[in-house]
Amino acid sequence: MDAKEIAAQLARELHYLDMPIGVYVVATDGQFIACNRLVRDMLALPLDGDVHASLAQFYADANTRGELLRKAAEAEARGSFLQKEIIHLRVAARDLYVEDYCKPLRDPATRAIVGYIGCLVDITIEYEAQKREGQLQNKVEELTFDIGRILHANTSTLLMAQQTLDSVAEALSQRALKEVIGTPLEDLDEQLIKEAEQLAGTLDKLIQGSDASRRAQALPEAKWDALATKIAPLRQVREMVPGFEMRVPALRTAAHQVTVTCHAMTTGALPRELVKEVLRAAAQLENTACLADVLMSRMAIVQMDATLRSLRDFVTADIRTHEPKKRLSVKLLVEQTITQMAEFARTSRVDIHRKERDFDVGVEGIERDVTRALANLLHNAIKYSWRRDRYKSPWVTVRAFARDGIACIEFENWGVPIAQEEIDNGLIFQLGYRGKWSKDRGRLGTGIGLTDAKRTAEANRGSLHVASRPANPGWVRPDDRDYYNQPFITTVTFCLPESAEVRR
Amino acid sequence: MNKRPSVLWIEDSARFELRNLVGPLFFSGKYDFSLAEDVTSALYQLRVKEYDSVIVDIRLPPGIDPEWRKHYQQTGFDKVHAQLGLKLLYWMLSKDASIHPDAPPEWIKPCRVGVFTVESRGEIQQHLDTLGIKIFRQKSAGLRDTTLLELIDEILAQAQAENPAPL
Repeated sequence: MDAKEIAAQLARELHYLDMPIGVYVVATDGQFIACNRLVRDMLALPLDGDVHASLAQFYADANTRGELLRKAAEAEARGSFLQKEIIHLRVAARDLYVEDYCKPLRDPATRAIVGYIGCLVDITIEYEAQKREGQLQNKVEELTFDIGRILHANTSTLLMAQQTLDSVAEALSQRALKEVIGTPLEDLDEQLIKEAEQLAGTLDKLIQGSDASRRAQALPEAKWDALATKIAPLRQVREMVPGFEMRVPALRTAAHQVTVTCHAMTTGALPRELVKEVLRAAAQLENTACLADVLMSRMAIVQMDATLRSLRDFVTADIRTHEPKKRLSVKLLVEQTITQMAEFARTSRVDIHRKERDFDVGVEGIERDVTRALANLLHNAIKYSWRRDRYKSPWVTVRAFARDGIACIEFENWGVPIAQEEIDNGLIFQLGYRGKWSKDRGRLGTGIGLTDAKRTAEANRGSLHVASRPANPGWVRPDDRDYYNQPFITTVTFCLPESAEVRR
Repeated sequence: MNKRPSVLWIEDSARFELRNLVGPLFFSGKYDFSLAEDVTSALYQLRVKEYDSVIVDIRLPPGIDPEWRKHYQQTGFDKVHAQLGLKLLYWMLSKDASIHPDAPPEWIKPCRVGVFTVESRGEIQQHLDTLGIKIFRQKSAGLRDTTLLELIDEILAQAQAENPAPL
C-alpha cells in the first residue's frame, strides 16, 4: 500500500481533510499527496484539485527538511511523534512560521515508510510578537546593566568631587570640616553681608581719600566708575540681590573684580595702606563667598549621591540575584536607615529625632528592598524640611510602633506641603511624578522614592500611608493663594505585617 | 538721573547653574532687574509692570496657576517636553487665548523679547520666525559671566532701534 492509498483510506474513514486545522499527507520526497483547505490557504496553493507541489519547496532553509525527518524518526523510535516543531517557511516571499505535528506513514505489510502525515498551525503572529518581546527584553537587560554601570561610575566621581570640596572647605575656613558643615547657611549669609559692607567702606575710603589727579594716574576713569558703581550694591546687598544662592556668586564676582582692578593700579599713585585695605576686604569677601559656594555644591552632591544610589538600586533590582525574604527586626531596619542617611542629614543641617528607640518587632521582607524604601522615605523627609526657628536646626522625627499586628515606621517632617488632591488621586505614587510643591530647584529628586516604597510595602503584604496637613491649622484658609506657602507637617508611614520571630 | 531700563528674566535655573550670570548684572548698576522662576510668576510680573527687556527660557515649570499646570500635566509633568516657555511666548506675542484665558499686556512686543535656552536655534527657529523674535542665545557649558548682560544690551538696542522713544 502506498501513501496515496493510505491517504485515500484515511480520508474515507476519518474525513480528516474536514478538520479545522491544517492537515497534510506527503510522499517521502515531500510531494503533497493530500492536504486540506487550511494548508492550501496557508501555502497559497490551489484551493481545489490535485496539488503539484512539495512541502520541501517552502522551507526557508534547505537543511530544515533533513533535520525534521531525523527528529520525526527519533520521536517514532520513542513511541511518540513530532510535535510543536516550529518551522520557518517562505510563501511568496512572505515569512510564515508554523507549528508542525508529524509522523511517518508506514506500509502495514512491509513497515516501510511510504510518506508522512501531519498538521500545521500558523503561529506567525504569535511567533513574531514573541521574537520582538525577546529582543525588547534583551535591550532592557542591556540598558539596565549599562545604567547600573554608568550610575556606579557617576557615584564614584561624586565621591571624589565631595572629597575635593571637603578639602577646599577646610582650607578656606581654616576649621575642621565637621564644624564648617554644621554652620547654618543663615550665619554665613550674615557674614557675607557684613563683609560686603566692609568692602564698600574701604572702597569709599579709597575714592574719598585720594584726589582726582592721583586717581587718574592710578586707573582710567572707566575703571573708577566701575568700582564706584559697586559701592551701593555692596552696601545694600540684602535688598538688591535676592536670596542667598544669588548673593553668593554675585558677591564673589564683585569682590574678584575689585581685586583685579586694584592689582591693575599704577604702583605709588595712591596711598598704599588704603589700597591694601580694599584688597584685604575683597579677598576676605571672595574667600567667604567661595566657602559658601563650596558648601552649597557639597550639599547638592551629597543629595545627588543619595538619589543616584537609590535610582541605581531601583533600576537594577530585577537583574540582581534574587534575595529571599527574611525575618527582619524593625529596630535594626530603623538603625540602618538612619545610618545610611546620616551624612545627607548632616550636610542638609537637619537633625534626626528617633522616638521609641527600644521598640522592636519582627517583619518579613527582602532586606535590601525594605532598607532602600525606608532610606528613600527618610531622604524625602530630610530634603523637604524647613528651618523652624533661628536657633534650632530643622528636624525629622522617626517613630516605630505596632498596631493590630501591623508594624509601622513613620517619618514626619515640617516643611514642603503635599497637596491633598495629589494624595487622594494617588499622583504622588506614580513613577516619576514629583509633588506640586517639591520642585524648587535646590531639591533634586527622581520621583521614584514614594513609588518604590509603596511597591516594596505591597510586595511584602504591607502598605504605605501619606498625610500632609498645615502645621498651624486655621492660620491660612485652603482657598487662599498662600495656603501651600505655609509649612505643612507631612507624615509617611511604612507598614508591614508583624512576623512572629525577630531576627537577632 | 535717567530711569534704569527694567529687565525680566524668566528662568528657573538662575539661582543654580546659571547663578554666575547674575553677579555682573546686579553689580553693573545698569538695570532694574527682576526674576521669575516659573510661568505663573512670569505672568504675574508681566501684568503688574512694563519691562524694557524680557528674556525667556523655553523649559520652564508651571508654578501654581491651574491653567499652566494643565499644559504641564498634558505632557506628563515634564518641563522638557512641555516647553512652557514657548507657550508663554505664544500667549504673550500671538495673544493665543487657548493657552491662557487672561489677556496679555499690550506693551509686549517681539522687539523687547529674547530667548535664552538650551534648545538649539534650529530646533525653535520656526517658532521664533512665527513670533517675530530675532534675539536668541543658546545655553551651553562655559558661558561667559557677561552673557546675560550682553543679551540684555542687545535686546535694549533692538527695542531702541525699532521704537526710538527714550527708554
